[in-house]
Amino acid sequence: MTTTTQTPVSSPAMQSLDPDAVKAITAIKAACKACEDADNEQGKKGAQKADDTYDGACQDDAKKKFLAQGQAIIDDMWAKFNSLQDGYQTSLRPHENVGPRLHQTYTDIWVVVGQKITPITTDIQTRARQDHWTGAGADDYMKQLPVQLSALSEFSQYVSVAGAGVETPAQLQQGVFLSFVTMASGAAQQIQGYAGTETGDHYFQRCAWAASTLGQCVDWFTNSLMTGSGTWRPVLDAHIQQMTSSAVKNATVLTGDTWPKATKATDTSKLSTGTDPKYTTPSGVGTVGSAAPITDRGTSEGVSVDDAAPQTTLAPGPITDYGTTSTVPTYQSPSTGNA
Amino acid sequence: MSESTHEERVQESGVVGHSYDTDDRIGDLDIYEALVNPHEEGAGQKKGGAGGPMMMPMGGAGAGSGSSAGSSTAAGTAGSGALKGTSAASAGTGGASGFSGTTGAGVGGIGGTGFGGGSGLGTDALAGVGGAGGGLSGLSGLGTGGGAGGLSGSSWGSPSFGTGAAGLTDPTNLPGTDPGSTTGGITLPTVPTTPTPTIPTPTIPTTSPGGSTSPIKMPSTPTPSASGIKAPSAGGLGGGMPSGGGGAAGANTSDLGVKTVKASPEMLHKEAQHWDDTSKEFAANVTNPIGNQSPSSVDFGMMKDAFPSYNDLLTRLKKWSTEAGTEFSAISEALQSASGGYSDTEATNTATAAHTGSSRPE
Repeated sequence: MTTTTQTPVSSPAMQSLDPDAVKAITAIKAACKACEDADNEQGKKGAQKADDTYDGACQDDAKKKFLAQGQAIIDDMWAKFNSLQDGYQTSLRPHENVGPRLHQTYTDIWVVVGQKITPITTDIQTRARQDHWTGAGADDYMKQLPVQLSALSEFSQYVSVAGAGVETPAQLQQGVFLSFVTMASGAAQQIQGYAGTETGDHYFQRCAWAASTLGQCVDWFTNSLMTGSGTWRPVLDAHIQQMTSSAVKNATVLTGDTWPKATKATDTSKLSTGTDPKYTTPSGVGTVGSAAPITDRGTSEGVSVDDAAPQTTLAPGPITDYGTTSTVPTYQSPSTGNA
Repeated sequence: MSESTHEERVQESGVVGHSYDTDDRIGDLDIYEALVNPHEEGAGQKKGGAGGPMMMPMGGAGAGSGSSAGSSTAAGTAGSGALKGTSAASAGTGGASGFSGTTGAGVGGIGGTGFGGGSGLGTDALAGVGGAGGGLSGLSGLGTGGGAGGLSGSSWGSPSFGTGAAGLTDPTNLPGTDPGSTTGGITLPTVPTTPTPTIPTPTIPTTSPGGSTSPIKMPSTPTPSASGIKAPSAGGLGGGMPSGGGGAAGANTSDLGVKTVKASPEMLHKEAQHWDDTSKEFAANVTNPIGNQSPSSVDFGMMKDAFPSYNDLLTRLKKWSTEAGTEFSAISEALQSASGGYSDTEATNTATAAHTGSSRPE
């Protein structure tokens, strides 16, 4: 009988992506600092302008108000940065070695075991074809071999399934890290771009953009990446479904979870040929790592000198609303902005 | 199957009913399916003699009959018809044999000639078999060549004569075991060659320490036909006789529901070693690596939901791999047992032949 042995395929070593994630976070921090410095430098001029415009000789209310509004934007930016950093530190970073270790189990155990089974299977196949056992009884003896061969073939299939049992989760977990790195790296580039953007009469605009971008990153990290919603969860569910499918649960030859005895009495009519895979890698495993939020700088326009005016009707409103107003002219995005 | 380059004979001159150039020929080695099938009713297990060396030319009439399988034709030739296997018997039994000569070896064989045989060899194996031999002939073919020897109680434990290994059931249950009875307990079928009710494939118990358990389930009834044993040819019956001419004829094993695979001890040993290597290789490269795995849900990080199904499969794989190694090892042991049995029997045959003063024609 001919059997097809399914052997887990080896793949390159997998390493922790924590260094890359840390590097990306560090880059975000540097970009945010650049935005802050640029905004503060620009804000000095705006504050002076507000003072000159609205404050008297013995007053600096407008100036203080102007600077307070700017500082609120800066603080918000750092709050979002810290939220993202802490989220990684507490929720994701603890799993930095999960992918590599599961993958190592796959390559060092299941791939190797699968490779070791192959020659044994071949050997039994050869024995089954030997013709030096002659006589009527030879048939009885040989009848034992197909059963053992089929059992080994199905066992090999299960080894492949077991390999997938660790490799798919490994790839998904690694994909989560890769997604984070992709997101963080992209955000760092974007924010760095904001730092170098000339904002005209819009003060603290850079930090406002950075805060908006980071806010979107935090939301995506919290609600999508860590929960898997719309990212890796559907793939994992598909994986689990296959791992618990009847094809896996119900063995054809290894029935009753027992290795068949070497006996001629075994019914060989339903022996597995080993050609029917018990597991197929779910689609999407390889794309989870590329998932990342499409962030933008939002609609905030920073702080203007007019926002420091004493008139209450001209107040810019709560700091938290800075990104929602739409009455200001559209700002032309810098070429170095969005990544 | 390796062919002997020369014929070993244990013919003793003066034996009546034996043909010098054929009757003392040591038969080829045969292996019964049961011996290479560790789960066929305990086949292959040395315990209790079961699965021991089967036939062997060894004289034990039975032995001969078994090994010389297919010698049904011999049956027809009657007395002298004794082909392989009878040699030893003849050696021991001497003239006893021939007796039959006449018509169906079987008949002759039963005629208590077997007794003579027993005495001739003076060995346990052949001792005291007597007429019963006839009846056993067929049985001997079943697996052991027990033949007369097999009947002897003392011979059970001794695989040497190719009879003990046979592991025949308690002699007392065998027909015609009573030395004093010429009836032999066997009723020859009127039409020797007509296959009657098929005997179930001989079952050999998995464990039969000390041979206390009958390796081969014998019918209690002395009547072959009644017992469900396919009526062997006349020769077959005679085969059971120590020297009965018909002995050689030996029952056609296929008629007895026993199939043989011709093999040599070397082949069996090699095959056994192959399976042993496979078992060890499997244990080292498959069973152990899998068995050493002890994951936890923590290992799966955010993908912990995938752990239960994986762990379940891992548990099954551990069980399978352990059982596979055990199974491969069992196959090896069964083959090794058969191989050892062959060697032992051969050695015994040689020794017996020398002891009985047989000559070896060039």
